[in-house]
Amino acid sequence: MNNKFKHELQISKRFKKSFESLDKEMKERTTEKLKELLEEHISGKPLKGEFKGFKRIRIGKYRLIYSDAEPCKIYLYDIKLRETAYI
Amino acid sequence: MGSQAVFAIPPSVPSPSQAVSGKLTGSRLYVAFLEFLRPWIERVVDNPRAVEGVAQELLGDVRFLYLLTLVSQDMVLISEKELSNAYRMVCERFGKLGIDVEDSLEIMLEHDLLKLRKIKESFTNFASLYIDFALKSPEDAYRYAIILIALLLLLIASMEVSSREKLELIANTINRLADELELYTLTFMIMLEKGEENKVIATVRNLEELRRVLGVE
Repeated sequence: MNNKFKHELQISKRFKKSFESLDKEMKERTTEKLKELLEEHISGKPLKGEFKGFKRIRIGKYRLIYSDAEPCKIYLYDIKLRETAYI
Repeated sequence: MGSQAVFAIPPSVPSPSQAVSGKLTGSRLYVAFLEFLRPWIERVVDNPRAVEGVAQELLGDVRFLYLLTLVSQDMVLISEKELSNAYRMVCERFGKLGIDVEDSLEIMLEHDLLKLRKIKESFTNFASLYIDFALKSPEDAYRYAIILIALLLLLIASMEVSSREKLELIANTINRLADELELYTLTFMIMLEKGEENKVIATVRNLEELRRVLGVE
């Protein structure tokens, strides 16, 4: 019970699917980042327009997208790889 | 507010890489476009940090907007490879002097590729996306236009200067603006992703539950 979060963490189908596609190291890094987020050690930058309630945190070339617009809740939207790669 | 928002609709602003690619082709359209931009680019070369003010002035210039309508039409003709090559060239230019802008250039390329693919996939849907954004969030749409023009000017300026000090100043400004551009790209991606996959499938309250739900040992 010591590890109980201050916030309720809601996981979307999209987030789970993206998370499952990550390699082991990235899964660990993401889990660590989530822990920091839930302990309120870090916060993301808000997106734009109607999605200002959503925030971005960078994890290497990945971007964790979440919303903390609702009190005591964090909604994990997705973790997106930068679609970069030079063609 | 309506007309102001329509004025700020971003599709008329070319992608930064498109302008670089156009400069390389040396076509009449881009020669005219870059010739027109010359005094503004010189101001950016003199003081890269003032680029947003320069971009704002340009957005108020009818001659610039007229040229943008022509350049925008060229967007559908450009290939992904050309966009990518333009960025690679800029990246190498900075890289030779040991200045790292790779992350920022990747962010710009991601933005430009998303825009290009959406235009080619369905121009109607692309236009709806940008119109919705501009009508609902005119201030953000205007800022988006400023960022695109500023990045375009900075990329062109980077090809005009040779001193490391100047390129470093340009790189710092590119890095700051690209970080903000990424927030727009992600917003557009999410706008296109509404649906079933956004539903909450699990709620957790501690680390053990989180690890179990995500299947992390």
